[in-house]
Amino acid sequence: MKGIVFREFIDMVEATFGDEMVDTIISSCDLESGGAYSAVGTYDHTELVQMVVALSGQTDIEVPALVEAFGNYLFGRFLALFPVFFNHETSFEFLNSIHDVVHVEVLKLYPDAGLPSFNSSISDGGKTLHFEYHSARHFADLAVGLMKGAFAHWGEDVSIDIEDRTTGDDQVVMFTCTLND
Amino acid sequence: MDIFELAKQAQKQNSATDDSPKGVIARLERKLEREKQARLTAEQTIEESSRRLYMANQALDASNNQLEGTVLELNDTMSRLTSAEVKRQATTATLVVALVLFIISEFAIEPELEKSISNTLVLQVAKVGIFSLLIPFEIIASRIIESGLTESGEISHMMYRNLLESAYDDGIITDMERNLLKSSAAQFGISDQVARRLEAEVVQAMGLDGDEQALLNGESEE
Repeated sequence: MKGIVFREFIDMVEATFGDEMVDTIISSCDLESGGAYSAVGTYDHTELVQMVVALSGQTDIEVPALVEAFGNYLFGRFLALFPVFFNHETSFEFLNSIHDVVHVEVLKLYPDAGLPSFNSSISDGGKTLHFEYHSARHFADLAVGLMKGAFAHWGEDVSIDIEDRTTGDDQVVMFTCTLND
Repeated sequence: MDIFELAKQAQKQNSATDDSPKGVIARLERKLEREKQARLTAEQTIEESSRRLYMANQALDASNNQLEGTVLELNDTMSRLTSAEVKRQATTATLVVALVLFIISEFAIEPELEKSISNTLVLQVAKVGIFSLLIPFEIIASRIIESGLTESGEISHMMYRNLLESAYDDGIITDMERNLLKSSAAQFGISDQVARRLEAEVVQAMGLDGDEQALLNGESEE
């Protein structure tokens, strides 16, 4: 997983719970990187899982809620860091462009990046988005947070229906997003 | 939900906080160490990337040199083709001249000789003499034809036009094609002015639109 995700997670924990919390969770985990993350590096995604679990233990907040909140936070950071990818009219159009545009650009810079794959389609005259998350990393909650961040950014009221379609090792989740009037 | 709201609602706060000066310093030292490690990783990554870029550049340079070699070879081949074409046309013309001379000697000169010379031996000698006199005519004629073909530049123009047509096949002239055209024009002995005129003719004949022509004019003025 790209270092930028780890850096943003550490920054979020520091901004929200203080640097003692960062120190506590890093010390309590057995991290191969020692918790030293550079945005241009690549690290094992299980280190993020370990840190989220440790943060959950420290704060008594459920892991899925933490991951989703991190996704929401991450959307704001991506928007600030890479505004060029966000010039769409609606959140559905943006989400629909991730797999074919955003991830293609990421792969140009980082050919070794292990990205989740998204199958998406807009229907119903732009009112419905089918968005299928497919990943070996099991971060569907992170995707939910990122999507909610997008809906908030475009000021849209969207309901998300979540259907777990996992059958093998990879997590497969179908999100059906409906725009409310 | 927003992480800050979540944090507010969290009942439990960090239990293991040590706020004594020693604790704070130890924490900051660990943080400093992590930042240092992260910086080293980043520097390593950058160094690897620059090395990769350098290698890629080297490879590009090498293939550029190779391409230049190919262009030179192509030029050489083209000039050989041009002279072969000149020779072919010259040979055809020379044959025609030879045929005409043969007909003249066979049907105009020889009957006259046969009428006036009765001795067979003398007649044969006279025929051979006339035939030998015609040979220099033939050689001179073929020289004139060959140099005429080369100087009029018709063949080199034709070859250059063919080149232009293949270069414009995809509608654009790449830098490499432009270089090839320039060096070929020099090889064929075609002046810049003539080269531009031929190019304009080809562009018009191929029906390329104004944009491309403007582009082309801009490029040929360089």
